[in-house]
Amino acid sequence: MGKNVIEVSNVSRMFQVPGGEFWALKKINAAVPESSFVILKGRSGSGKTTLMNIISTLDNPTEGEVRIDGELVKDLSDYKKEEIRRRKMGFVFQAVSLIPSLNAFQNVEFSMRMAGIAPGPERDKRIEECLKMVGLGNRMNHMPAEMSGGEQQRVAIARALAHRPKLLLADEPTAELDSAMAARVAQLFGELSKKEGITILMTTHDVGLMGAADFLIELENGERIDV
Amino acid sequence: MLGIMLQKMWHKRWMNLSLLLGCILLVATAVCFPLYQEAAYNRMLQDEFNQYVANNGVWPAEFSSMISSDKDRTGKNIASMEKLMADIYKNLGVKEKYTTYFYTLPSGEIRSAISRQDAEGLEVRLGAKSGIEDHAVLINGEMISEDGYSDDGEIEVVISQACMVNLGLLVNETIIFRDYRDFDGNEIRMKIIGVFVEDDNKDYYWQESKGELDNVCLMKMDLFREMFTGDHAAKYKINCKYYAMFEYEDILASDVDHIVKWTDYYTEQSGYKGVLSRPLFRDVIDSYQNKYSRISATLVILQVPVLIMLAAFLLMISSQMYEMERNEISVIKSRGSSRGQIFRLYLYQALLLNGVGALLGMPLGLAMSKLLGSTRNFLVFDFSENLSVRYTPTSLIYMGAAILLGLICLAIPAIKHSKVSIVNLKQQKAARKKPLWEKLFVDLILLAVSGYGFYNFNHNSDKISEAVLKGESLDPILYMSSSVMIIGAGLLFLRLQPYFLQLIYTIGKKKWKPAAFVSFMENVKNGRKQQLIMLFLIMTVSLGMYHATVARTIVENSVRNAEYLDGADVIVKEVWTEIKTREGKPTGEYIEPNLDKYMLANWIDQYTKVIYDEQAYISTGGTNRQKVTLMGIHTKEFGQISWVNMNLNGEHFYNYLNEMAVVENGVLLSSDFRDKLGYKVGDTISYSNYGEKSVTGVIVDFFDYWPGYVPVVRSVTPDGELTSESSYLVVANYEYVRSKVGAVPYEVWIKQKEGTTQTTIYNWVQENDARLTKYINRDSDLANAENDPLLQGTNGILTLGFVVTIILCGVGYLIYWIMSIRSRELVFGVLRASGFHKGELFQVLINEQIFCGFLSILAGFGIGKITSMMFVPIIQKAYASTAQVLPLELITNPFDIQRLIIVVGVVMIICLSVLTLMIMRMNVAKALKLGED
Repeated sequence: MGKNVIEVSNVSRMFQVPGGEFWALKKINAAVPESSFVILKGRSGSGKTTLMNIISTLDNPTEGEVRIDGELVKDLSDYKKEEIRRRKMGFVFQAVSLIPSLNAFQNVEFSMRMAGIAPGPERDKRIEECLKMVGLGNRMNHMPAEMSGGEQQRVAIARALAHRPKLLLADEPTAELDSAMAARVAQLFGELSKKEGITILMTTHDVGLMGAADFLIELENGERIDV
Repeated sequence: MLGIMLQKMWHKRWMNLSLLLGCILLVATAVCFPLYQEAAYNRMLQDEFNQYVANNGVWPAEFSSMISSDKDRTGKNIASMEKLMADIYKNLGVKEKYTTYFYTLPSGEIRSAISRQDAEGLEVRLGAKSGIEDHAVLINGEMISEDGYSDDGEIEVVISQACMVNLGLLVNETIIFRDYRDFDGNEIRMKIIGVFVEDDNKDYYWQESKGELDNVCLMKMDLFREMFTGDHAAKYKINCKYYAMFEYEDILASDVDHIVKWTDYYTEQSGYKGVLSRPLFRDVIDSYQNKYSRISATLVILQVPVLIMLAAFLLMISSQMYEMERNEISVIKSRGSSRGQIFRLYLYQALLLNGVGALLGMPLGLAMSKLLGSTRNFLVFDFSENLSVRYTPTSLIYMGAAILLGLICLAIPAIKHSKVSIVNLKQQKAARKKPLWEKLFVDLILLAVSGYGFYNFNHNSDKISEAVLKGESLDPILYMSSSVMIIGAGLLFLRLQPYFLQLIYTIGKKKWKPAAFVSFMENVKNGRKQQLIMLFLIMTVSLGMYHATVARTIVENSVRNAEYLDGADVIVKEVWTEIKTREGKPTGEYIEPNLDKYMLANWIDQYTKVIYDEQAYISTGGTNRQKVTLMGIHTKEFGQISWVNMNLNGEHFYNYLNEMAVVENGVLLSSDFRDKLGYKVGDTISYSNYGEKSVTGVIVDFFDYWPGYVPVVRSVTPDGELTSESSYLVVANYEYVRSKVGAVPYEVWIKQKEGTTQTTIYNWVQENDARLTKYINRDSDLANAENDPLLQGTNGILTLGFVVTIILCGVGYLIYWIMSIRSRELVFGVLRASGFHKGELFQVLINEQIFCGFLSILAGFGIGKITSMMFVPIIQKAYASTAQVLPLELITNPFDIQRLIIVVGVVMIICLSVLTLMIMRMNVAKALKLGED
């Protein structure tokens, strides 16, 4: 294993709620090495989305610190964080998150534009490659509204990895898919992490998918329980 | 149900507030027009009355009747006439001012009780005039006592000063009729106890008996009746005059029809038609009704585009609301609510919004109509003069109609949407269709229609102005053509706009930065949703610009014309006394008034003498004469003082003056001398003024326009035919004319100092005891021109229309964008999560504002400009009058455009600020959560 892409040390996250404080995360430590496919597991309310938000730099921990690709996140400006998100990360969300006014090809192309990859045949080839990887090579010109939920989610995956991010974050990407499709997505993540050298962190509560991952991080009541 | 509705409304409170604003504006605008119109008509009616009083010094609001009653029927006739007078007020519905009965016996010879010689053979009329006690101003003696008898049993009478002078009667003298006897056969003895003057300058009580009292002895009215009417009365023929005078201040425009109906009934049909003469106020009302018919159609037509825009606004907002609530409606429907229930839910909501809208809209409408009354020009207000506005029944009808329209706009779309369940909704969302108008080429059809209208009117423009001058109201299609043109051109722009954007997009296809890319794609895919708001923007701006041009053009032309016709700031002509021979024959020579007062007047900047003789003539061979107007001027002074657009003749005005200045006997002639009479430059012409002394001059040039000169006098004959007659003007050097004909009456043309008011001049005239036969004041004529009800009404309605549409447009624009951002919150959240910077998000919004708002506004300006250039020259003919002399000119004022840009700019900035605030407050994590349910 190479160096760690994600390093989480002593991260706690407190929310102010009526009647006091609520600690969604308590002193979490985790390290995710390069090219690994990791599943973040836990029930609803276990704190996995909170941890995911902190790792994706959308949220800040109350205590502790996070390093992404060696950079200490809390030292970064908002702008720098946005730059990291658009260049080094790819996102797949639970809900369908394609831009409705763009077709499959343009949706994938868009993340490459965001990452500042210059236009040209290279870029177009990469887009086609990614769409083929998720099995949608023949639906490149379709609009999101013309595709099923699973197909849309696969476009989202293609979009998340097209610009060759260091880290792909997927928050419950299989929640709205049937189990066969969910298994295919998990398998795809496993293959991609090796083939593309991308570190993939996925949250799910679907026990059937755990086998595809290199290892698991399990949360319960804001605490890590797998170690 | 009510709870659900209120909860739903609270949930979408901004939406509902906008709808409420729409309802308020709809009611306010709908109500404001009739309120304003009514108030403007009221003012116009009062102006007519006031003007009549000012011009004629007579109170026109009165009925008068004159009968002479047979000696056998005296009592009956008088009683029935007195009842008639009382009925008139009641039936006309007017407020009594004075009712006056004036009865006299035919004149009879008298003798004086003191038997003085010079009173022999005098004739007087014995009479009574009701109200004399209150109106007569005694200058000698006293008023008649309560019972009408003096202590020694003689009849007390008062006489006018004129009567006293005329007949040489004395106060306290007793006179006795030679022939008249009372019922018992006793002689009638009258004691003159007082002399009065008629205060006829201030008291209209006297107006009908002017000059009639110089041989009348007035006694107590009750006593007169007792003695000469009724059963136990001496039977003589009585001349009766009746005046029913009423107040006109209270008469409203809405009363006019009623008053006219009764007046005409009385004077044309009733049993009294023979004795009631046509009252003076019928002329006043006729003149009012002429103006009314000229302006009412115009004012109504001008409102139509605004009302259409209002309805379109409500439809747009409500369809936006349903768009937002589609999910909700379809969910409610899928859970088993009936269509009726859903419809009722929205109907109640619409009722509530419209009810509150009406409640708030009525006072707003009242305020707006007051604002209208203060409009002086497009978007120019003058609050010094207030229009008195009150609610009228008509305005309530308009309110009802507005509420109905609001209900239809808000509730009807619910029917359509209540059909849709969640299943069809998903199917509908996937489909994207070309709008119907685009498929049917409505834009091109509208353009063709307006083009035809333009062509047609342009070719018949002479007929249009002729019709207008004859007082016919203008073809509404003419006004409509311009609106149709604006809508057509706006739609055409909407058809072309996506191709234009596509073109720009294609140019940089792969290279566009993410923000630009998102904006382009959004516009390409969802641009059609913006079409209504874009059309709205285009129409607001182009109608605004068009209306500004219309308003500016008609007002400016009218003002310039008034300025030209006056010729100078102030022109006065004093009375010149003609010197007569010892036998009393006129000599043709005059006493020149003293000019010192002009030199000393502190309000006069400069003055010049101008001979102005409209009765001059030239001989055109043999005994033929052509009537001309002769003007003698000091060229330099005249040039400095007179008002004329310097290049009106195609050459600088001063060039003409200079040409004449160097030729002592040179004359400048109006161009008809050349065109109709065949004169050439260098010819000599012989002209004569009043005094038959003829002068010979050399023609130095011809002109088309000259300060105050009307080349063609147009008028409408009583049969409604339009006639025109050339008028000829000869301009010569003052000194030369004077040296040939002597001192003839001249006018003084004055350039006043800044800040001179009418009062200053009036006081100056009083102080110097100047007797004027002519007085022209440019300022007052300009004010009159600007106060023309048609011009004011036009400006008011155009301005209000613009203000309303810009508010609607701003609100509509804001709502559209808030909805657009709301519906894209998830997408924006995804973008932000994927590392989109805030700045880039702004960039997206700004790009979209440019594609949608900015381009529309630009298109609006373009379309407004073209429409103005095409239609304003035709429209302004509707406002021309027989007094229009100068060629009509299309006038755009850069200030108007600037004002328009500022107003539109402020609205856009407000919109952008709100949108920015929304973006700032958008929480990425929360936005993403939105997608999770």
